[in-house]
Amino acid sequence: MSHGHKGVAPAHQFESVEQQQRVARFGMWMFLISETMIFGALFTGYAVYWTLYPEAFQEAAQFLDVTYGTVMTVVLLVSSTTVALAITALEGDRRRLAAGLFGVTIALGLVFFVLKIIEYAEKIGDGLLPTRGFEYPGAESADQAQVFFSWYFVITGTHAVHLIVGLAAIGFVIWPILRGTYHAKYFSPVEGTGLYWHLVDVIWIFVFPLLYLMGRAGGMG
Amino acid sequence: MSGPREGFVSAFVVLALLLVLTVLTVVAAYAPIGVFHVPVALALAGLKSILVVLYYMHMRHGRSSDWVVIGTGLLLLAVLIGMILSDVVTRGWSG
Repeated sequence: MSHGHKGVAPAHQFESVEQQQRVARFGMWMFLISETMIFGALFTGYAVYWTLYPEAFQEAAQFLDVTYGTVMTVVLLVSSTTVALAITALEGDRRRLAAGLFGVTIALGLVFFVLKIIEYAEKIGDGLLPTRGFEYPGAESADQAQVFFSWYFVITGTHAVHLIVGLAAIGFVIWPILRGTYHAKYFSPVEGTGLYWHLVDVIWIFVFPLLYLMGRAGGMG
Repeated sequence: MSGPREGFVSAFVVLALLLVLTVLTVVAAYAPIGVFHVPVALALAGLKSILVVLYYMHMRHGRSSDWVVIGTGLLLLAVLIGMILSDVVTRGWSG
């Protein structure tokens, strides 16, 4: 090729750019599934303690804010949509549109993060951070409620760390998209970044009902 | 790569479905369905995840090697959760 996009030649160990992209995708899925195992282990631990302390967990879960949880869910779902749209745009070589859509994703991710900080601040202000200063207003065992809030902070905190990493990754691909380093014929790093962001979304799809919506109808769930 | 794998319209259709399922998730949480709260919540979350994986993550056109990775991971996850919870819930220490 005498003329064309930058980076169309595959790395030397691959026969074609298509093969290189397939391998990158495969590797990304290996990584994503191991991320899934991390969160799976956290959810398992949470389920074990729910089984051990059902009354305390049932009551403690009512202290989470359904409104925050719902708004965060909608924000993340829309942010995943903008990533999907960005990949479609990039595959059609509409690079400015793709970069713009990733910009919207970053804005939505930051909205999610700010909401998370406000929510944490409220919980900590209410004395619900499981430390020496833990002040639990509920009727059930405060010690067991601390375990619930430990899981709440660990699971949502681990998710928030992933969100920040995802935001940084998107930030790193926007400029190369505009510059033409990534384009319709080669965009593996962009695709990997998009897949990662979708995983952050999928994790939250489970966090929302399993933490925020538990035991809302009264009685044991 | 010959053109986009998914159209712009399908992304919005999937978003609409995801939002509808989110509303259902919230409604189900407040509904008097007793012991079915967790199964229903997991089913709805699973459905939403399938939509994201198939359309947004392009696994609708995915290769079998990628599916092997996903399948193996989910199987191991099922073993982890299934074996630990089957132990915990059958002991006499809860309640």
